[in-house]
Amino acid sequence: MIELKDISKVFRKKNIDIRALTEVNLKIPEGRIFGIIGSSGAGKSTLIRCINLLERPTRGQVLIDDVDLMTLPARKLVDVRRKIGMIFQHFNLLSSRTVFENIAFPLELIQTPKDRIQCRVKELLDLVGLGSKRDDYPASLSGGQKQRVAIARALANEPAVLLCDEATSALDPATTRSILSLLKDINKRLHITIVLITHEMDVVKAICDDVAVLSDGRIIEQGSVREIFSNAQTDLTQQFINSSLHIDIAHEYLNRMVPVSDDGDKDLLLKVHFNGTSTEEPFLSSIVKLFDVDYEVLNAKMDTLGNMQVGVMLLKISGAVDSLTNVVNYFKNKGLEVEVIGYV
Amino acid sequence: MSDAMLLMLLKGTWETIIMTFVSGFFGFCLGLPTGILLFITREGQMLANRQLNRVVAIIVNAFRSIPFIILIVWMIPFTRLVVGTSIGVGAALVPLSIGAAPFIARMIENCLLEVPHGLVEAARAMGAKPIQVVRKVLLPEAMPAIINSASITLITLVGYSAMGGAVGAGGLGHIGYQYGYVGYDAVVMNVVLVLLVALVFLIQFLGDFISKKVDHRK
Repeated sequence: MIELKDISKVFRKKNIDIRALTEVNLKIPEGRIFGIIGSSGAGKSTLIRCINLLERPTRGQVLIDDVDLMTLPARKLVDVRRKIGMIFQHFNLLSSRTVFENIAFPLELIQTPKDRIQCRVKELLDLVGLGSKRDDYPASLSGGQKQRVAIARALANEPAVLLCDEATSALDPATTRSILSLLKDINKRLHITIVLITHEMDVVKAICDDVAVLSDGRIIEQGSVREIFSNAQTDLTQQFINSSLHIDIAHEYLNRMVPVSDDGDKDLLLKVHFNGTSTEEPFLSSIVKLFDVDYEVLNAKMDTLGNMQVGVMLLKISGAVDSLTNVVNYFKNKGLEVEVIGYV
Repeated sequence: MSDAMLLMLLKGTWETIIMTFVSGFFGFCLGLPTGILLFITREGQMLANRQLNRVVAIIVNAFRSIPFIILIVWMIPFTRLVVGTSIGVGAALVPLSIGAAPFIARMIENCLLEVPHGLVEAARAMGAKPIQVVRKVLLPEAMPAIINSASITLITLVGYSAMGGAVGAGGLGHIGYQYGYVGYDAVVMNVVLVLLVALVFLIQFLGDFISKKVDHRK
């Protein structure tokens, strides 16, 4: 288990103190995927670097399995770091080494015998699905392939923890998904604790078990991903959640939309938010039966976390004026958050 | 041109090559560790040490500011101590190596500064000791740049060795000085120039070739 106790970090530049982290407390249980989310400049990178002491906190304790890394001599710290893998936004592969040699690097550092390196690297290449790229140089690989090599390299010493520093921020959405599912797979199969920092709620939603929200160097909220999504306590957290649930309204509708309709020959545009409300009854077919309306789903972004639904849906509903009002009230009574966009 | 003259030019070329490459070798032996020291003791680097960095930087700058022709004369007592004489190719190697070393040290420092800091960070995160970071990350990653610096250094040394020739070191510089400056023999002087130009081109070509071979960044 990783435990950060009262971690503060102050950078001193030209006689001005910059507080990067203030009294951060975190407990990261074994075998979990722990996300730390924050805007740029919130101190995420500094925080993750405090876990393996690439940055030494100004105050506080970094406990890994109850050993305080801050008190370890340099030699012991090197040994601890070998059991903590790390991957980076910009991959940080050695350009002068082939894929094979890059993955062999951490093994060379501890004088692993050549034949042992050969078979370990082969295993790792198979694990990340890059067997065919063994002798290529990083320059000829795509971003996703580079990150796979970096993951293989980070796993070479069979670490107990993997730190991911914005590991998917430089990748396109499809590649991001494949890297995230690889990380999830590694977490499940090898029982490695993963700590990742990101500025995207999508990443947290996709693979994390727990999440902490970092703002101005302080942890302002933490809990399981389900708790946070269903019951965000702070505005910033809500903003992160909303940014991952953002949906656009087509221009075609925006152009001919009016705010009110009296005559009933226009359709209602409705945005429905699901903030973890469990919907046991099929509410869309209910409105058809109850109020004699028709509906069309124009856009939706829905996720299921456990047995809860999280997401947002844009509906176009047509029917009599009274029925439309009833639909809105019906949704509200069901505990859904509804937003009337307009009439088209 | 007489056979004797040709033989002399050949001998002179060989001496210049020896002076350039041997002093280049010894210059690197001194300059490479110094350059690495300058780099790793910089602020924010692995073994940051402001005092040590400043002391080394002062020594390097002091030696770099001595004009080479004066360095040769100034170093005569030391040269005598090392090789037993102050005249000839062997004697020229001492000031050439010492003159090149601080230049090489600064070039190495610059080459290492170009290595992306993330690579050092990644190696540290994997539990690499500082010596391993230098040997396995910094030097291999900076190798294309270091080889380019080596060509520049060797070409500078061709010029320095010619200067040494004027004060008794031998080589093409000596021939050029004797027959060109003193005797004004236009033919010999021009042949010497052509040979020097050819040598410089050859070094540059080889440097570019090797540098490209070890560069896998593109």
